[in-house]
Amino acid sequence: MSPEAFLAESFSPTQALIESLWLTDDIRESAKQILNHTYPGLRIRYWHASEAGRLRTAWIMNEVGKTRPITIGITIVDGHIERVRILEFRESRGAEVRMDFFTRQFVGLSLRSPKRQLSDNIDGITGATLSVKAVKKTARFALYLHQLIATDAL
Amino acid sequence: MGVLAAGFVLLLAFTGLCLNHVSGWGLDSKALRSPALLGLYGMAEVGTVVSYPLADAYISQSNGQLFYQGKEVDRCEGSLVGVLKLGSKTTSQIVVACEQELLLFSPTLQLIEKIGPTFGLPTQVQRVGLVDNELLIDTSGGLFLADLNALRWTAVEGEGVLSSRQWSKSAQAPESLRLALAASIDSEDISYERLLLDIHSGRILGEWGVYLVDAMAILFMLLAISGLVIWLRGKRS
Repeated sequence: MSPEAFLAESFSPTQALIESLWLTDDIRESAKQILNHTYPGLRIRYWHASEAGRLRTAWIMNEVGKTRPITIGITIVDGHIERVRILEFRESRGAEVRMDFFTRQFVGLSLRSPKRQLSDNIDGITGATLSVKAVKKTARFALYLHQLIATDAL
Repeated sequence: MGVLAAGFVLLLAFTGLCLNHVSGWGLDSKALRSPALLGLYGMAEVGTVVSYPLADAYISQSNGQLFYQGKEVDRCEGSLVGVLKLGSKTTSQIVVACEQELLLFSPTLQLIEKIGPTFGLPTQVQRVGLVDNELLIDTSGGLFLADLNALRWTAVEGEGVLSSRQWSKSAQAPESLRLALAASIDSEDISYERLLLDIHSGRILGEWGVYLVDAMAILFMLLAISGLVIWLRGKRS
């Protein structure tokens, strides 16, 4: 799935605005706890729109599963995941994470404090452990960033 | 025959054991460095190094990896096509342009972000230049003035900007640096895991290697069956 198609299905029929978020030291520290590595970059772009007071954000991020980055698209509405899509999978193994049976497990999940875990378990896939981990970490990271923006916007 | 088979059993069991633990032992992320082993893959040649000057240093790309002088900085999609310093009076940023991606760095070479087609970057980028301190990118789809903060890409006609543009030009890095970078091997290409797999399957010796391992596998089966038969016969008598 192309990033354009992902954004179109996330925001249609409204138009999304693109915005950038600078990662402060605090955010980078939290990112490190979630991702288990420092986020490569000082700025993240995201798309957002507001409808009837509900904040909708979309994130496109790369996370390495084993050796190659997986491009993951995540839409969040009001702190709950609406959809997860694998936009590009470059690893030699673990492509099962692209399948709907895997990504639909994320729908509706939110972040559970204090350790910023997902609010429900995600069933893994045998032989795709690292790809599954990468998608889960990215989902947590996107939820965390969405929270930051939502509290900022208030 | 038995000794030959025993040798193969040991080889296969050893590589099999290692393969079961490639992740745990880090064999999947460790790249082959030995020229003799890489020669088996026809990869003993050194790659080309492309360099662009940045102040009095060089940003180079070798085997897909980007370097600032001899230090690895990041990877980017496509070949390196230019390096520029974008400056306003208060802040400056470094743009490292590759065909499919622009990498934006802080003056201390901390990555700010990667800007690819997802953010509207027109591709393929062929070269980058400065016009009145604005970034100009020359792509296969034409010329664009780029505002990397607002992610705006404004198509421009070739004529008007021709006079004042300065394209980023590649340069020859010093010999010592070039040689050091050329020897760096793409860490993603061939891992020890791949080598183990190819030894295990016989593929390391080419097509005939696979047949050899096939033959050995059949031999093991025959040995196992004949061994069982002999054992059963001995039991009966």
